[in-house]
Amino acid sequence: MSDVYFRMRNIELSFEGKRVLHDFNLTVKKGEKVLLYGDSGGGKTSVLNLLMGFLRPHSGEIMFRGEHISKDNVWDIRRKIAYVPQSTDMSGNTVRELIETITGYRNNRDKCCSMTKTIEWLEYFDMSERYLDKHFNELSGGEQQRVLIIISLILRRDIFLLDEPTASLDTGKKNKVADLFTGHSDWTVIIVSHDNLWRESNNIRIIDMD
Amino acid sequence: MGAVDITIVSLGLGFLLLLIPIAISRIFHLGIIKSMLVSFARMTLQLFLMALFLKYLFEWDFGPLNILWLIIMIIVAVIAVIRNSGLSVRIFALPVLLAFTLSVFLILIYFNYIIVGIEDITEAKYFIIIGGMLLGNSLRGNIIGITAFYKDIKRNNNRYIYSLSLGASKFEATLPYLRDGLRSALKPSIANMATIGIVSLPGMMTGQILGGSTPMTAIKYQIAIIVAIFTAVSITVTLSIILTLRHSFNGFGMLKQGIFR
Repeated sequence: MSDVYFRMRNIELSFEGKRVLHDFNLTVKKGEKVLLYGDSGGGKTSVLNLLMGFLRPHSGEIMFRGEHISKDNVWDIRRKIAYVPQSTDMSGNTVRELIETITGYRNNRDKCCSMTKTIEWLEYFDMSERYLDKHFNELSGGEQQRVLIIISLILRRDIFLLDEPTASLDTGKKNKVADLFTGHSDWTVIIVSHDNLWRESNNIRIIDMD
Repeated sequence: MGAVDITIVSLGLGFLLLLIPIAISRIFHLGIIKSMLVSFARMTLQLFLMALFLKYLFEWDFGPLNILWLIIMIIVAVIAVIRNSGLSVRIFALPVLLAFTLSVFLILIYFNYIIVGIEDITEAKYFIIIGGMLLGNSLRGNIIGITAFYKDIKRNNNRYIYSLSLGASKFEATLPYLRDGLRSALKPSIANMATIGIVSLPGMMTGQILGGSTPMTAIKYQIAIIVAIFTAVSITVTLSIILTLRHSFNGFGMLKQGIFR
């Protein structure tokens, strides 16, 4: 099995005539922590979407463990990744319903941990069990962000794609999140952020996207 | 005893009523006079043609011809659904046609054979008239349901992508949108049913009473047709969405660019 998890070569991507990525290259090895740093509009989120097959480049190669990402293997790749979006509209769902829906997907049923573990994670992030019955869309930005992080953790995956995971958190919680994701040697983590906090971590490789 | 006939002159007098909405449109600058008049002209012409066709269809009452006529009606309905939903006719025509044909024929056979109990289920009076009612209502429900489904995936693409990223299959990721589409399609019928008989007297029942049926016969038909319509809308919207899934997403699970017009 290849030690290189993700490889992007000579990627070209543009939207409506505006060039988003030009001759972009990225290699991420197993266990590496990589920060895509820069202001918004620099194509950072597009990199994550390319890695999950939600966007296709105009030219260039994208590989996962030595195989080109294609419509045949992309579904399998997504099963190995835990993605934390910057925000998402989950109107009408309580946190519990949201978690039950996600852990109820056929691919996740046997792999997810129990509600007890979910509550432990909630407490770790200074939230209590009562948050389970709150509507996701009624939570504050910081609370939503922590719930999305918890969902990524209960799926028990070891590849994390995090899109601005600390944008709405206070300094204490930012540190907690950063320590958690950079502290596991077996986790492969790609972080998109313009938060300086991540730059202070020792074992993180920084790619400037400005 | 049938209803009293309306002479052409009387019908013309009926059209005089339109002067009121025209005046309202002028006063408030609604800008709908032209489209309104075109629609009324189309409706009148289409209904006169329909009366002419029905006259001969009833006279001949030939099963295969009735079936052919209903299929033509289904094709027109399907094109109207797709056009009004802002979707690509090329991509959606076949799956939606299949959904409508299966649903309308299934309910129609059940209605004519099991509920009404007629021997020749293709008898024009029942086959085309009931088929037309099922179609007309399925058309409205499908425009609402399919539009809600595809527009919501496009509008709230983040949620869809998020579900896929967490390991959902295409069907699992589209399920919340399917639920919303079905709810939007069925809710008006549910709300409407609650007021039938108090606020509104439905068309079929009114027509039957004017045509000479007893009120009791008329309401039994009305109840049966409402149940049939509700079932037909449920089936057509569900089938239309499920059958179009395969054609409207690419291999990566993303909505194809060309599905919207």
